Amino acid sequence: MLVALLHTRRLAGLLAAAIAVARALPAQGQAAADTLTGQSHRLPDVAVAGSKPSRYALGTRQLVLDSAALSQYRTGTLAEALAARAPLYLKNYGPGQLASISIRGTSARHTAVLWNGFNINFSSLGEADFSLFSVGGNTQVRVQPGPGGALYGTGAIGGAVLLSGEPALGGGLRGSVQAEGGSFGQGAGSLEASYGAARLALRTTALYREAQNDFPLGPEQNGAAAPRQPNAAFRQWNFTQDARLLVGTGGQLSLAAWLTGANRQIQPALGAANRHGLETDHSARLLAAFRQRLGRRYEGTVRVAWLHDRLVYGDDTLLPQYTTLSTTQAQTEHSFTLGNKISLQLGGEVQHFEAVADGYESRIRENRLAAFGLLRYDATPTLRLTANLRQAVVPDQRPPLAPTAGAEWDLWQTETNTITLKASASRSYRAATLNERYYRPGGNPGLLPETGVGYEAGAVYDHQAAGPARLHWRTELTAYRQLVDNWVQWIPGAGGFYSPRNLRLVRTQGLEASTALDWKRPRYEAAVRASYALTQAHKQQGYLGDDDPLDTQLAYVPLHGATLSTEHTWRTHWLLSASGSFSSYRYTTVSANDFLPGYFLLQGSVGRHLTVGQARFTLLVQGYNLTNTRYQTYAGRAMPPRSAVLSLRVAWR
Amino acid sequence: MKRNSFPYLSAAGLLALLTTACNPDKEVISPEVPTVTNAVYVVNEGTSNGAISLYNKSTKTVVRDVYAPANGNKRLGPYVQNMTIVGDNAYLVVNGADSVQVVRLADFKRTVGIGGFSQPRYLLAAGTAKAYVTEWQGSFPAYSAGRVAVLNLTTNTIGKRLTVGVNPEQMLLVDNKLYVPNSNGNTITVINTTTDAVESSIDVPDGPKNLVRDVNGNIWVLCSKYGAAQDFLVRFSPAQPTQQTRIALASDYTNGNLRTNTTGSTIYVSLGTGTYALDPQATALTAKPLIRRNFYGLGIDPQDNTIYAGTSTFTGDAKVIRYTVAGAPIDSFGVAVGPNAFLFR
Repeated sequence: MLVALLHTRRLAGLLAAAIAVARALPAQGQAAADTLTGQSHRLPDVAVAGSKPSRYALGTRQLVLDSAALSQYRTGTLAEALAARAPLYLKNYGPGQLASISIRGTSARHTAVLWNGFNINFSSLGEADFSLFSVGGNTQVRVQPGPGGALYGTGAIGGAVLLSGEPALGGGLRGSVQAEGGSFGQGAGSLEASYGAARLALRTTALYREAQNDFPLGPEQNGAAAPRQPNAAFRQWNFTQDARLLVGTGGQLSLAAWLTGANRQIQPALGAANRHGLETDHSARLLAAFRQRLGRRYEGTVRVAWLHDRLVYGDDTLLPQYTTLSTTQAQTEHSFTLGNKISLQLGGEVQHFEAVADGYESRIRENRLAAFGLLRYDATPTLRLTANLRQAVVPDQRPPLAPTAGAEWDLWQTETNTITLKASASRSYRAATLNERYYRPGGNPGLLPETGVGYEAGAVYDHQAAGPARLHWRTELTAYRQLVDNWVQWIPGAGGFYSPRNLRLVRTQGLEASTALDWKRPRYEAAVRASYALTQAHKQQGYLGDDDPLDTQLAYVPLHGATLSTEHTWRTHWLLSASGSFSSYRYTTVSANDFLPGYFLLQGSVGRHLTVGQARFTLLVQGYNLTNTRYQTYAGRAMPPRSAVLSLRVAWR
Repeated sequence: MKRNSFPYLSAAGLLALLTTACNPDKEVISPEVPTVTNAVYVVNEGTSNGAISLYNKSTKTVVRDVYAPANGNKRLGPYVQNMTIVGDNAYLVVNGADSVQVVRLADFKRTVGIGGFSQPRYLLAAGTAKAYVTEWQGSFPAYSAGRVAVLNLTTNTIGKRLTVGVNPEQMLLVDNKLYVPNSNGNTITVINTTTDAVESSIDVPDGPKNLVRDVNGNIWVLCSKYGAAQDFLVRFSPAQPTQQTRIALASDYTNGNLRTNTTGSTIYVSLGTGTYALDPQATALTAKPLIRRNFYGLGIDPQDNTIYAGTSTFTGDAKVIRYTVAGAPIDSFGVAVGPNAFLFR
C-alpha cells in the first residue's frame, strides 16, 4: 500500500533493452507493487503506451499509491487516499467536498495533475478538486513532489500528481463487483470488467457513491442529541474505459475515456447559515494515442486528448454560476537510443483552450505551445544523469525556459543492499490561469508567470533479502529547498476590484523521510509504511500593496505531517490493516495566529477472502476516525466523527 | 449606522451613567458635555469567522477577540457586518449566519441570539426598546426588494417587516424619520418611526449605501455602484430632499466609509483615491486627500477626532492605523480579519 518510493533506477547493463521497455514500463502499477512487495522487476515482453516521464526524473522522489494501497479505497476518492497515505496536506471543506492539495508548502494551483500525460487541472482555476477523482478507474497514482516543469509543464511547482489506467495484456476475462454501506448514509457500488488477450486489452470500470453526511456536530449535551451537519450530502459517479491494441510490429493504439460527475450540497461552515449551496461538476476526458517502435533505437508517440468540464454552483444568495471549459491537446514524443548509454526524447505539445463562464466577458480562446527535450545518460553502471528542458509559449506571457538536471549514484551495492545518492535541480513555472487573466472584473492580462527554482538531495537505502523469508526494506531521506517568485495574490487593485498581482517571493524548504518494509512468509505477509514531512513555507519578500507579514508559516501548511500504515495477510484469506495520519497545527490566515489544532486520525480494516470456484468473495469492515477525533482541515468545516463501512466484493478470476 | 448612532448612543450611555434613574429621550444630544472615551471596539467581519477586537486607549493594548473567550470559544459566525451598542448590550449583526447576537457589554457574554433574518446587514436603534435591521433578499446578481425588520429590543423578537428597495444598507435616523439607502437601486426609502410605515422615497444617483448628518442638519449620501460610470456624494436638507448638491467622484468599488466627527462639522469619506475630510458646505473634493490611502473601515473618536483606519486584504489579520485630525499617522495596532467599523466608549 502505500506510499512507496519508486525511483527510476534501472538494471545496469540492460540499457538498450530497458529503453524500449522502460519508456513504457507499462504495467506501471504492477512494477510499483513489485517494488514494494520485494519481487524482482519482471519487465513485460511488450512495451505499453504512455511515456514514462519518471525515467527522466532522476534524483527526485516519487510516492506511489500502488494497487494494494488503492484497494483500500476502491470506491473512494483520491483526496481520501492521499490524505491517509501520503504526508501531503489536503484542505477539505468537508467529507466529499472540495479538496485541494498542498505539496511542499505550495498551494493547490502549484500542483500539476496529469492523466496519461495530459494536464487535467481546471483551466479556469489552474487547480483540481481531488474529491472529484475516484480512485477506482486509475490503476496507479504517482506523486512527484518538487518542481518538475521540464517534465510536466505548467503548474508543476510544488509537485505533480500522475494518474494512469492502462489495462494489462493477457489474462483473459476478469470482473468484479462491489457493494458497500456505512455510517451517515454512505453507500457505494462499483463494477469492473477487463479482458486481456495477447494483442488486445480492455478495461471498464463504473462507480456510484453517495453519502448523507448528516453526522453529529458534537457530543450529546445535557442528554440532548447534538445538532447534525446540514446540507452536506452528495452523489458521485465515475466511468472509465481503456483499450489497447497492438498493431503490426511495435505499434500500439490506445484509447481511453474517463467520465466523472458529482452533485454535491455545499456544506456550510460551522456557525454559518445554511444557504443550501449546490454544486454539480461534470468532466469528460477522452484520449487516443498511437505509438510506434522502430527497431531498438526509435520510438514515436502521438497523443490527442479532449477535456471538457462543466461546473455549476449556486445557493440561496447566488443564482447558479456556470463555467464550461473545453481543452483540446495534442502531444508528440520521439525517443532515440544513442549508443548504449544515452537516451533522448524530443517532443512537443499544443493546447487549445475554450472557456465560457459567468465571470468572463465573452468566450475565451487561447492556444499554448510547448517543446521539450529530455536526455538521460547512464554514465556508468552506478551513475545515471538526466538533463531536461522545456519551453512553453503562452500568449502575452513569457514562461521561462524550464531546465532540470538530476543525478543518481549507487554509492554502495551488494547482492542485497543498495545505497543510492540522488540530487536534482529544477526550474518550474506556472502560466497565469484563465481566471487570473480574464475574470471580470479584476482579471490581469499583464500577469507574469510564477517561477520556481528548487533543489533537492537525498539518499535511498534498499535492502532485499534473499532466501525464503522474503524481506524488502526501503528507506529514503530527502531535503529540499525552493524559491517561488512572482507568487500570485489577489488584492484590491485599481478601480477597487480584487485583482491578481505578482506579489511575492516564497521560500519552502523541508525534509521528507519514508520507509517501507515488506515481509513475506508462506502463510503470512506484512507490510509497514511510514513517512514524515517537515515543511517550512515562508513569504520572504513582498511588494507594495502586499500587507501580509514576512517570515511566518503560510496558512494551511503544517510544519509536521506523518503517516503510518500497516497491512497483514494471514493464510491468504484474513486481512488486517491500519493506518494513521498526523498533522501538526495549521494557521488559517497569513498572520499566523488563528490556527486549527493538530490531529491524529486512525483508520483500520478487517477482512476475509473466501474462494468458491473461480469467484473470490471479500468481506471487509473499515473503520474511520477510530479515536473519534474532532478535527477540521479547513477552518469551520466539520469533518465526520468515528464511522464505519461494510463492503462485499466478488471478483471473478 | 455605527457612526451615525454613535453620538446619540455615547451621550445616552453617559447620561445613563450620570443619572441612573433617568430614561433619556433618544433625541437628547448634549455636545457641551465633554466626551471621554477609553475603549474602542473594532468590528472584524472575518472570512469564515468574525471577531470583535477591543483596544484600550490608555494602555494601548488590544485584545484580538473578546467574543470567543467570553463564550466558551464558540464561533461568532462569518461576516460580522455591524455592531451597535444599546444601553449595556451590544448587538452584533452576523450576515453569514442570518442572525443578530446580543452580548452584555460588560463581559461580552452572549445573552441571546436572534435568528430568522435574511442576509442582515445593519442594525440601528431608535431608543432602547426598538431597532431596525436592513435585510437583503434574493440572489446575486438578481437580488429582489429588501426589507427593514423592526426588532423589539425588550423581547428580542422581530415584529413588522417593511419592504424597501433592493439591498438596503446603512440607515440614518433623523427625528422620527428613518432613511434607508437602497444600494442596488437609486432611491432612499423614508420610514416614519412613529407608525413604522414607509412614508416616501427620495431619488438619488445609483448605489446609495452610506448616510450621515452634518452640523447643519443636512443629510449626506455616498452613492457608489459597482460598474457605474460615476460615483457621487450627495447632500440635501431633510426638508427639501429633491434639492441636492452632488459631488462627482471617480467610480471605485472601494469608495465607502462616509463618516462625521461628533458635531458633524467635518465629513470624512474613504475613496479609491484616498481618504478625504470635507466641510459641510463643500461642493467638490479637496484637491488632495487628507490621507493618501483607502481604508476598509474608518472611525472618528468623538473625544478628540482621532481617526481610526482599518486596512485589510482578508488573507490575514489586519492593522488599524491611527491618524491625527490633520491626517498625520500616530501609531498602529493589530486586529482580526476585515475591520469595518469602530465603536468608542
